[in-house]
Amino acid sequence: MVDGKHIMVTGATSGIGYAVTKDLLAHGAHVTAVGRNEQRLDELRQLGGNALQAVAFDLTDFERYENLVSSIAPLDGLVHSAGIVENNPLRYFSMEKYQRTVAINQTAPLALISELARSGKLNTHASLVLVSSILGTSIGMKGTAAYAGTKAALAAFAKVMSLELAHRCIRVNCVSPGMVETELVENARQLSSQAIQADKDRYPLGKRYAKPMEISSTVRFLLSIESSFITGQNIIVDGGFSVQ
Amino acid sequence: MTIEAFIEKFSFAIEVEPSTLDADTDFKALDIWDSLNTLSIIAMADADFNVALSGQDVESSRTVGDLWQIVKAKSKLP
Repeated sequence: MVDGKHIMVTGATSGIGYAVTKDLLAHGAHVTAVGRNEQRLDELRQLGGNALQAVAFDLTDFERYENLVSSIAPLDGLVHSAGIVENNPLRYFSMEKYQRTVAINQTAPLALISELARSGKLNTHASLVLVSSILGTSIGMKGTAAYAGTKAALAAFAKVMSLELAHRCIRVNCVSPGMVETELVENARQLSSQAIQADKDRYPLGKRYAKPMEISSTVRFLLSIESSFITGQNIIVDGGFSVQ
Repeated sequence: MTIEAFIEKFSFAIEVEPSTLDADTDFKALDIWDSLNTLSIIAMADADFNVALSGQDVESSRTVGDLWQIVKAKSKLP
């Protein structure tokens, strides 16, 4: 389904982006992996060989986007998975945290896709997938206003961009996971092990968080020709959490 | 920093009157306690004490005094 396609993945060195990168390589795609973790980029280089171009890049360095985009071959797909989440409740609202979250989660994908479109680096029939969250598209969670706002923006971006790019048969969609078993959850210091277990118990399908491959398989579907008439949509992958 | 000052900060974080708390208060037994309180306590420790508390730190503390001991240890306060 993605065999031979050239796909860029942002946030490729952690969490969902790392899983998506490995999944795409396993299914024959050529991947430009953008991330900040040099060790993970080396791991991906060894895994992908000639099928992988690893790019160490800070997505908040907006002035270098033109250089980044000019250095890559035209794309058949993009997966924007880079993102951060920080505890930022109203009583302790931090403008610094807010601006950091907006920069990476919201401004980066808009600026990157804009640069790709302007530079002619999106092939006809390309598919763009933005990794959002049910916290932005379906439910609320205390302390996450900044994060949720940026993730809601991605769903809005998908609608608008899908219209702006439709004349070239370029599709834009969102995937909104619930909690996913990644190192980001394991290392989330604000969550105790008891709190995580109690949260897992609220997921109807199996009382567990999603496995990374359950998100990457949905992303791969949206990148493939199998989803050729789906655009501007948001697909929720949360084991039924948000329909309760 | 004293335990009284910590209680003042703690009470602001969970939005109760300082007079309703003391070092022996079992804070998770308070009627108003919910998931946001854990996030607020962590944010308070970060903002007011430059201490990175974890959810496990809050979970393992029974009283306000217990949590104060952890904050003191992590901040190396006397």
